[in-house]
Amino acid sequence: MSIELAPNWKRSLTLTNPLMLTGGYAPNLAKVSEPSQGSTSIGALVTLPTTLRPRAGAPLPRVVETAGGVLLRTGAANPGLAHVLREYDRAWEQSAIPIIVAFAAQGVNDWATMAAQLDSTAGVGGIELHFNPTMDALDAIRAVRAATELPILAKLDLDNARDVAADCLAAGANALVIGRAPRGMRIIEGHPWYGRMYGPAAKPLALRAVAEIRDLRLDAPMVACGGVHSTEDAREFLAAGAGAVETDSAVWLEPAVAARIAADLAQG
Amino acid sequence: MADNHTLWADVQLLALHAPELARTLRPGQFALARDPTTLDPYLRRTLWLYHIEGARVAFTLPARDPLVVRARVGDTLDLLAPLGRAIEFDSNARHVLLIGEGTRVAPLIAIAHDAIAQGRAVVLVTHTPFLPHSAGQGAWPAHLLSPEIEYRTGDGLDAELIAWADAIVASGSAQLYRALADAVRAARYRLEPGFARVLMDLPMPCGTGACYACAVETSRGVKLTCADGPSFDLIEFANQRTR
Ligand code: FES
Repeated sequence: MSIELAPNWKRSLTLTNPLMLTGGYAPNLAKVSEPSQGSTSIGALVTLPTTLRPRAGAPLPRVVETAGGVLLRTGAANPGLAHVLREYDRAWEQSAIPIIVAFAAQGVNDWATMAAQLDSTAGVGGIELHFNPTMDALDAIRAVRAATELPILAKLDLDNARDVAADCLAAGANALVIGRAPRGMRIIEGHPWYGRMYGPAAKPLALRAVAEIRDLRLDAPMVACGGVHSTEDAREFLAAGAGAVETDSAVWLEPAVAARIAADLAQG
Repeated sequence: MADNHTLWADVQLLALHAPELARTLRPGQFALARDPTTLDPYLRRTLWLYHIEGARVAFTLPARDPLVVRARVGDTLDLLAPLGRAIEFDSNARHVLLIGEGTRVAPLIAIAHDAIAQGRAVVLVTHTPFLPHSAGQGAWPAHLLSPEIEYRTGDGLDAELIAWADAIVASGSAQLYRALADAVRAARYRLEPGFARVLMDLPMPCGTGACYACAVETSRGVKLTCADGPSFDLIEFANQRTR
């Protein structure tokens, strides 16, 4: 099985399994991406969204449970790219699967600096861009494109993916990820609390968005993301038109789930 | 599960038959638990080590937690453990001072027993000045403690106590930790690295470094409560903005 996320591009990004894991930085993240059965491995690791400089993240609490999952607001807490490269460059170099470095929303110049640094980092197979409403997504993609030949995945918000997908590809993205965790809100002690929704409740929303993008008939690979907790969930996204599937919060609950889904998908 | 009962106030005791864990889990470490039959509640729950006896491991967690409400003796829980770094005292630390607030005293009790077993003198204090005067937020009940723990309530930041201690572990609010740093400096002139550790009690969705929801800002950079903690050197927070 082979899935190409950057067809007709100078540098390929080939997955040997459609299941991608998001989170952390370690390709052998304890029990997470190690195959539990046979020699099957997940297709790629997409790192935690990262910024050029360290970020302490949002004030506490950052997690609020809700029916069907959890609202999460980390404020892009991360140790910064320099620290990540110091800690993980050996592991990435030796990784059997491509590492896709996710960029958290920040200034376009910082993205270009990060992209240039990663361009020659062994083991890094691509970049996944996470935008926020204050960024001009197309300018940001162009800036990253100018700084690296690494394949670019644009991870879009579900609510406007259909409107911006074609433009993101025209600006230089090689593939689309549909999509970011949906935005949600709860009232906590009388005040609104905003976060992104992870968990099974996110799946139908993402699935619909994936099908809508498929219907646009864009000439680019599509990765699905949203509420994947089982092989059946992953298969639904593949049936809806995705070429690969990211799983995120499911491994918080069960670290071995990614390897198990990958093994099931490898068997067809 | 071998036992599930309310210990005191909002503190539930959950005892598990877990021979492997009983051998490997150390005071200061924790487990993340879930009911493998359901995704509700969604996240794993943090279980703080309370006591190990033979193959039986007792943990504490909030008494109103949905996991507690549902789980029955005989049920099987899915645990990720041991997680985090154990509390290790310097071999010269003969006097150990443990300071907790209200229900947050619970994780200190296994640490107290371990220190006593190592031949150290332990004083445990429920620090009450910062506690809200609501029900269930008073001092930890003395009858739940074994007699070899010297127990006090009131001011855990007393200068004589801090001067007596060779090592301190605290479990409570950010306000307590700020005050502790000030009190140590006042009583001992300096806050030395390795002298005081503080326990962070934050939601830890994954326990593996995947989500970064448990990231804290320290003077040594962004650290993870699940992997680098759950206890940190007080000196890492003493000059930081604490949330
Ligand atoms: S709990 Fe997820 S990184 Fe610590």
